[in-house]
Amino acid sequence: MNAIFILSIISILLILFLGLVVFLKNPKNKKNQLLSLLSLCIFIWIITVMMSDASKEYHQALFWTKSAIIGPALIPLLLLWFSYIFPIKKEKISKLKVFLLSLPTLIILLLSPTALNIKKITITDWGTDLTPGPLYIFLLILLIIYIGITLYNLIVSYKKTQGREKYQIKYLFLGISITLILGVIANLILPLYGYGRASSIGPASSLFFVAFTGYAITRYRFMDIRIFAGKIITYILVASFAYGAFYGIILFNNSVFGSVYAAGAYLIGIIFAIAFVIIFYPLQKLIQKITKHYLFAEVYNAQEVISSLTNKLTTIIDLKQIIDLIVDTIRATMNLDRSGVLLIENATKPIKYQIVKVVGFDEHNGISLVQDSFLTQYLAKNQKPLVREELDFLSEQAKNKDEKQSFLILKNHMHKIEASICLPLISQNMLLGIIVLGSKMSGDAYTNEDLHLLNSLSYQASVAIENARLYQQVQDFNKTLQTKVDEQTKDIQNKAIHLEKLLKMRSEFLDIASHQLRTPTSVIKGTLAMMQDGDMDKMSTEEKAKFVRNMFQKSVKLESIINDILVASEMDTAEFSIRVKDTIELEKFLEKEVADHQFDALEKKLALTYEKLSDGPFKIKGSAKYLEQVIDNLLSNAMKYTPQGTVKASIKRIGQNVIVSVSDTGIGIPKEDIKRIFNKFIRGKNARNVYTDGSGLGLFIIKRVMDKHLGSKIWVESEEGKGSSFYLQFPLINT
Amino acid sequence: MPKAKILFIEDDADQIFLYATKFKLEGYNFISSTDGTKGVKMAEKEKPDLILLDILLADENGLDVLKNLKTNKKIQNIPVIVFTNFDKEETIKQAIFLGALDYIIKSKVVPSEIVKMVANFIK
Repeated sequence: MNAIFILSIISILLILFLGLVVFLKNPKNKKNQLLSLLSLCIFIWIITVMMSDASKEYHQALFWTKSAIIGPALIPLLLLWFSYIFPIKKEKISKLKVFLLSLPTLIILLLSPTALNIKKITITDWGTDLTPGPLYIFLLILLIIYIGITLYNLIVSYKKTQGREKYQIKYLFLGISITLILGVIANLILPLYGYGRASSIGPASSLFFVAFTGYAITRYRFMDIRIFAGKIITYILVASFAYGAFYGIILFNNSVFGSVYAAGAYLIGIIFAIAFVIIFYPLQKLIQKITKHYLFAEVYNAQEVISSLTNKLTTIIDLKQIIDLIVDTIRATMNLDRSGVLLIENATKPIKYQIVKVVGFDEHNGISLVQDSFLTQYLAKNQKPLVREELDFLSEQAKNKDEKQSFLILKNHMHKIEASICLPLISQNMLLGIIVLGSKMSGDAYTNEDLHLLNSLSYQASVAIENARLYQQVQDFNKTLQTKVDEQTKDIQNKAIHLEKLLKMRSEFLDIASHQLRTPTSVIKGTLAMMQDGDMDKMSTEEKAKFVRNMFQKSVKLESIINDILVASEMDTAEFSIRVKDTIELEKFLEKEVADHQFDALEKKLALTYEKLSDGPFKIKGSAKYLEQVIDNLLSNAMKYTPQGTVKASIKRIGQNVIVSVSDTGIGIPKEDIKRIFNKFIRGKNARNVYTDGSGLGLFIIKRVMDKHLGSKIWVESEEGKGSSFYLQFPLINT
Repeated sequence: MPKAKILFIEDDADQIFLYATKFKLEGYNFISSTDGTKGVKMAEKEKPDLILLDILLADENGLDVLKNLKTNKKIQNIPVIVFTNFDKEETIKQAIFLGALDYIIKSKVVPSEIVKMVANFIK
């Protein structure tokens, strides 16, 4: 057993393995077929060389040596063909072209049994030395041309592709090149120069091809057979164990018991059988785990992470947290450039989406994607992930033209925003939203395992989101409820406060009103009681007169207070209305009032004057009855609160209005009381000193009357200690 | 027997006139003040046997005056009757609390009745 032999055996095993796995993965795919055929040809090549070296009989050796050309003849043809369809089909090759390309190979095959192939052989102790014929040169040229084109095609593909495919091509290229160079040198060139021995080593160079291809398979998922290969490897390892165990037992039995059929062997066999069964299953699992770990490290991790994510999702209630978790985890684990979640806003028509979180996507694009109602319908109906790359296929499969079109439009859409997958979030058979994912940063496509994982994730996510939503709804409802309750409570509180205020006002009114009424009453009653007692007789004439006058005045006062209170009460209601239908000539009105008050003015030693400040006429519309009261009140007030000095009444026309004013040189109104002076029961602070019995209603009544005269105004100017001036303004009517 | 001295603190002059006439006819010494603060000073000076006090005064609240009368060491022992037309339960309670002997509504009594009440209180 020499090194070459061992190398060749290893090569055979590996090449067979490669060819088998590639073929079994997808027997229908042209790529797989070609590649497995290629492996087969390499296998034939190795075998024939081995056999040629092993043959000690001349004809046998010659036969095998001549056969050695078969493999290498087919290899360039297959490689060329392969390069036309890997990674994608480049052009349709017509049947004619296929025939023409195959021609050289056919020629070589046909001429292989002849002496043009091998001139002569010499059997040596190391193997078979050979002297090649002109066919070898032909083969050499063929190889160079075909493999040259192959490599050229590969370079073109290399430039065009991205990501892992680039790497696949690169390693394939390297593998083929190195194998080719070594193979050609060892099996073509050197023999042509007389070093036939080298041809024994040639086949070993295929190890390079296997190694590089193997690397491309495991690292870059060449031909997508990694997982499949992994399974096969697991089986082989497990089978090896069984094989080893089997032979181990035989060896043991033979050495201990002398034969497998000895009685002791049967008994021990039972123990061995039980041990085997016990070990087998866990061992299989262990091997699977190790294989998985080494071949699919990143997939394994991704699975774990997404598993734990799924678990986490079921415990979180906060919607934002859920979304964050989904978007960030998927993106990090699968190494994506973009990810995002969109949720359907509840029950709006047309369906509106709300971008809950996007990373890497342009938000504007994200929305435009989901405006595509076709996408929504499709996802809602099919409830499984939609992969952009499949859209062409789906389009072809579509039943009608509209659908076909929609698929293509959707594909463009997704391409534009650089989304690769749309995962539906389904709950209770309704679409809640969409998880949109971009491409993997490594450029790899999504595998079936990826999709499977994402599918189960989106299912869990839907449940979690639905729960969070419901929880949110309950929260919101609670808040709304609380707000409503607060509002109502506030409302009730306000009403209660208002009611309290009203009651307070009423009771204040009653307090004051009752006092105002009682004061004159008590004097009248008291005076009459004294009369009854006979006290009048004890008084002097002067005193008697004063007494009676006092009582009279109080009775007058009583009447006026009663009147005030009644009027004020009436005016206080919302229904109060007076008829403002009379046409009044204000000048005459005012003159009369002033004249009426002259007597009182004289008594109080005040000067009461009337002045007309501009030309008339001064016709207005109003209520004669009430306006009489108003002016009467103003004049009375002026005189009441003026201990000495003058009271001036005047009338003046300004524009379309007439202004009546009553001014006095009295006690004036303190600044802080001016704005409240027209309110009920309000008197100036200084009023009591001069006139104790004021009801505080006079100005209130005046104001209410003025309010009822549309277009009219009343205001006051006053300075404490100096005097007050009250102004009434009315709009003039045209005669 | 020297007749008792009555002090009436009331801002309405007509009211004072009425009761002053009555009390004088009955032989009492009757002084009055229309101002609460002045009234207190008057009480200090004249040391009346009884004070009649109104609630609604010009610039002050009768209850404040009552408080002053009752916290003034010199005159706290002079009996005070609140004599007014202001009839409010709360005010009545407060007045009694502050030390008034009684709270009488003017319009509910005739002058002879008040004279009798005062006589009783002085005894």
